[in-house]
Amino acid sequence: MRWIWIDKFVEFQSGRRAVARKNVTLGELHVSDYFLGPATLPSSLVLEGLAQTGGILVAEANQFEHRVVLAKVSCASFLRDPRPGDCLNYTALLKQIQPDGAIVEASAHVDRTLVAQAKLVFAHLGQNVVDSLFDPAELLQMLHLWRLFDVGCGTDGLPLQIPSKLHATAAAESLSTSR
Amino acid sequence: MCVTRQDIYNKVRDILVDALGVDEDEITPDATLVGNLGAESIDFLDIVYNLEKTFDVEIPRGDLIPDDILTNVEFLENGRMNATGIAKLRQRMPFADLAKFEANPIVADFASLLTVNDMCGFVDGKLKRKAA
Repeated sequence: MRWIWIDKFVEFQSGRRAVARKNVTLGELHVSDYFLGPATLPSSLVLEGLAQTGGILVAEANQFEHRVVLAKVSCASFLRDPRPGDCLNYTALLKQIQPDGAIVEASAHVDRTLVAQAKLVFAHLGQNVVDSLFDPAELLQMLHLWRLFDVGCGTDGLPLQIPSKLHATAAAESLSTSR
Repeated sequence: MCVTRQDIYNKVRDILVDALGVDEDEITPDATLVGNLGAESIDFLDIVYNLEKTFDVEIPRGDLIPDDILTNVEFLENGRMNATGIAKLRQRMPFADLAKFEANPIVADFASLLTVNDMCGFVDGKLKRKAA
């Protein structure tokens, strides 16, 4: 089971901004069974969605050379609980990126109503951690599922390309597992 | 507009309260960011970003803590900084009180010596250069 809390990207400008969508459904146990009373998407999972949107924005800015983890939630506020049937739009703005990490300001809207906002600090992991924690083939598959390359554009305004390193590593892994 | 040292201190204090989750009364001019207030390396990214936004200044990497000097092997001997390195640090960090570091210049301890007062001095210098 994957811990995925965004459904797809609807906008992606390399190094600047990403918008991802999450449809809230009553079929999700976290929505229907998490709280007694009205079914809602818990705030922690809204935050996770914002972090996943921002994390991909940060990782892509470095061509996925570094793996990225959420290091700190500097501040977060939740203004309304998303309910089944709501379509959440998560917007992440890359405010600063450095060799050791990045700052993202993120917000969640249902239609035009702001439901949550947060400032997130991401850290870049060292290469030794990268190899043991992340599978490039799985990551590439997720990026395709999220339709990142359908909507993304690079810093030059042209369609986003699959990073060569990610592509090469995934292809090599696929070859070795098929033998 | 003239920004007083007290204005700077108050804003730096608010930034540190938010970024480090400490109480306001834990922040004193002599409190060290790492040793007393528990700042970790990733917190500096957050703090510097908030300083830039609050004071409308640009803070390039290495401005607050000159990594290029601290990691330059020319200035290091067995984990300690030599006199040339310390002189370079003094040049780059006129805002900081380096006396403690100079007495025992173990490079690994450097970041833990930076105080709230040093950070206020850093911002003060930035604002003065911007106004000049």
